[in-house]
Amino acid sequence: MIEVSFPETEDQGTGGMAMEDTIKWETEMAAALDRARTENKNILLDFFNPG
Amino acid sequence: MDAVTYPDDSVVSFIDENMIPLRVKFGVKPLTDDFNVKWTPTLITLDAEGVEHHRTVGFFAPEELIPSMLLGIAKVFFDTDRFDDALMNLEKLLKGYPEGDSAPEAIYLRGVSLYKNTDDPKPLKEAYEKLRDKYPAGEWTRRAYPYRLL
Repeated sequence: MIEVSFPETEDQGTGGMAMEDTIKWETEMAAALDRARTENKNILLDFFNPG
Repeated sequence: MDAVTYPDDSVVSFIDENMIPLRVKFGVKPLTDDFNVKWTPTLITLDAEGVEHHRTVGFFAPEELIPSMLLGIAKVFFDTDRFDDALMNLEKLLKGYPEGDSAPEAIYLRGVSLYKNTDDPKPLKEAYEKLRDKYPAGEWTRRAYPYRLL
């Protein structure tokens, strides 16, 4: 079962900092699928225009 | 999205904890064609087999992106007949973001998920009544309109 977690809203031992400060984007579908299966998560696929 | 939404701490944390983020430049083949993408930003929720369950087009503020992702996760469960898990995510959405743009669809989907779980049509009617009261002119209120007769 995929358990959804909400962001921390209080300092819970991270010194008040988010666990990650930027999104660590995958850039290849195969790598994203591998991680999705391993980590039991869904994929957020963002098609973007870098302008 | 890059200037406002993706740097937001709550968005970063939610994605880190719940999603595998995959970014593809619009136009890159074959993915742009495979997913029939015509405009950006297009955000798609895929399950771990690469199957699409939820799609949005256009900008999302941080307070709208998180509930949209919750809706996407709920749809993955709904589409795979895991209605308890769908309901858990819909409740989180409706509790955490009750005034958000994703809430009407979540109310609708919650009613359907409850019905699928129990075969009791009462949640469908309750979903319609809640939508009618909160969003009298809303799209999801119209979609639920037939349930008033249950």
